[in-house]
Amino acid sequence: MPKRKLDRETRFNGDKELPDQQKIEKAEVEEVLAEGWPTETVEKEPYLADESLIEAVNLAIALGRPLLLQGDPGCGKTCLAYAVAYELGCPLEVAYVKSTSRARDLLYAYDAVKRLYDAQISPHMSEEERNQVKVRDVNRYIRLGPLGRAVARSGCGRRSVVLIDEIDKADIDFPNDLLWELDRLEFKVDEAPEMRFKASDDPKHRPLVVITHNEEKALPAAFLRRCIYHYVSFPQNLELLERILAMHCPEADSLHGNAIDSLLKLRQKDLLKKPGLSELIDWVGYAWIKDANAEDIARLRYAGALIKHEEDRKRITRDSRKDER
Amino acid sequence: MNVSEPDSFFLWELFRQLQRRKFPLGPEDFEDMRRALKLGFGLRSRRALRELCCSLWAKSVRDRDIINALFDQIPRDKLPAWTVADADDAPGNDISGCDFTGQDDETPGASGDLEAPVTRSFAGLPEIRIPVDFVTGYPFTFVHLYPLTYRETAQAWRRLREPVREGPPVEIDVDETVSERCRAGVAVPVVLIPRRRNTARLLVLADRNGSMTPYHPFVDEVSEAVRHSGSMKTADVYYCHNLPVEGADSGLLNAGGRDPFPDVDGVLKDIEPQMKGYVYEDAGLMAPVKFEEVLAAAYGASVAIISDAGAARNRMRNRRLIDTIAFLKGLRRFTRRTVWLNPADDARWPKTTAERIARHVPMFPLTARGVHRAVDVLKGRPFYLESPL
Repeated sequence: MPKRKLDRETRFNGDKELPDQQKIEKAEVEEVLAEGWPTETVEKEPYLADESLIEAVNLAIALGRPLLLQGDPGCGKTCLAYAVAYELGCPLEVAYVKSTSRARDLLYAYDAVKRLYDAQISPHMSEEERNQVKVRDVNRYIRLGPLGRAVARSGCGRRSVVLIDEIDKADIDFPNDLLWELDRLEFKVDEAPEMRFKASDDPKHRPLVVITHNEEKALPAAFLRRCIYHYVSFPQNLELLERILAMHCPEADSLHGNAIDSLLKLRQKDLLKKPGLSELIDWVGYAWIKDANAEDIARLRYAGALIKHEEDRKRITRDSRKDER
Repeated sequence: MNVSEPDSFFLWELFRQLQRRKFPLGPEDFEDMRRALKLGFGLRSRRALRELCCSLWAKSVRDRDIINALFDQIPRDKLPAWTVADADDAPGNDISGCDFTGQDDETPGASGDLEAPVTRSFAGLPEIRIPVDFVTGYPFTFVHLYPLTYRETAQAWRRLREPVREGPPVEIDVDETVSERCRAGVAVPVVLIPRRRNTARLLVLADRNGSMTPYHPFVDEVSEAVRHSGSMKTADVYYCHNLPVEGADSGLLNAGGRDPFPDVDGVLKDIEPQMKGYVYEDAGLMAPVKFEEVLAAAYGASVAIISDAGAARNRMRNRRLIDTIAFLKGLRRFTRRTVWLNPADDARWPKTTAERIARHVPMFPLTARGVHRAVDVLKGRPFYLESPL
């Protein structure tokens, strides 16, 4: 692993005082431009990070290592990347990993089919058109992937945040194929040898890579070694839970107390799938639209948003009947 | 805290401990810790320092628990003293019953008040003093180290491949497209073919209880890896006690098998194949399924049997041997690809039922090398058997 320069300046503060929307460079563009890049208006992502998570993000930024997030589903792993990108004011390049994903897809895609089509010389073409055959220009058929764009953008002197979501969905060798690129933050396009991309040496422009992982498959040790690890746990603290709810559903504040109580009680039961934060937020939001009152919440109305298994649902109904008696 | 002290000694010791526990850590990881400390990370409180260790050196929840435990064992005088009491370190209104973290209920200096336990002097024997550090916190940290890790298992089994093109046509067939183009003489649509998929199927039959009890956690980890990461079309795990089938005619061995090492080869032909019996879907042996149904579904699949076959208790049982041969014969009616994985070390096999069974079916120890060789056999590599069935 090459020794990376430390980024001493950039800090993520989990700041709540940010504007509700701001103009940020557009992600997922066809081509990363050195200047005159397009922008888009991005809405603020409400996110309340605890101290240790903020520390882990800052550590990843400072040391230039990828941040590996693990934790129960629905505890805000993916949202963190949005919040960090928003606060740092840089575009967020997202790579949703699928079972068929290959490491190269994150860097670039080569459209062989389109090139083959273009290579067919049409009888309607004029002599002039035939002479300036565009298919010779291979660059037209290369499209950069999320990590590729982030590296190219860094080369132009701008930072991006890259989210590699659910890396364990891919084949178990997928992470290994990314080692070099994540270490060096540079790559070349095999199909077009003159196309090379390299991130800037300035740590201020180094892309921040956030990787989420659901522990479906074991990741290779060589890959893990390079990451900063953080386990996003369910909030340990009542006050934090209340603040999170207040941030996401401020209008439904009359329901918050009972909702948190009910959720904590549910989490103490040995359910197949413990309801997490995102379920709580959905549930309170839905109940609010349905004009439910605190009483309904205590009786677990609309619990479909919280309980994801038939077994669990039966159990809760049984338990609540027992309580009524 | 002065970071430029020689080698930040207290963390060096922790780092060495983690290396001994096979954490994948190198010099850069230690260097990064020093760099992080220099940048001001982990200096706020004892807890922050511990979390920094976890962020940099832990790679899973289990790793994190180990680091937390080892960190708490560092003698207090080796750690820098935080004079500013931090809100983090005070016991907060943590929600009890929620797992992870929140174990940090110590306040600075709390353990300094503890008295070292001292035994009373009795019958002229001297007093024994136990150091406080040994008593407080977590004196021992136990972690399992299996001969075969989750990842090694997954890597070995994914070599069991039978790639077949099936599913929607998504890949371009360049040769066919070019020849179509040549034939037609005009632009034709590209020819697409389905992607290759692994159609290998695996049936794992795991022996449960009895002499297998000490191996349960190990076998669980292995079967979990096979089930989730083997990337096969299907990988089913069923459980049984000793064998799915029983009741072969043990009278075949003369005099009720008084001979400790009988010659089975003479009666091998007379042993009838057995298929009637039950296997269980769960490790607790509570959900029975007819073995014949499982076999029918797994027709032509690869089969791996995980059992110590008497090697764990150093036993030789004639009845077990006959039953096993009947079972293997029954199995052969459905598939020819069978291997036996024995969690007991192969040094323990001689003079047990395992040694005798290994004459009839390829048997390998349940280690990384053993599983790789088993997969080779399932892929069709020839294997010499002393007495094939």
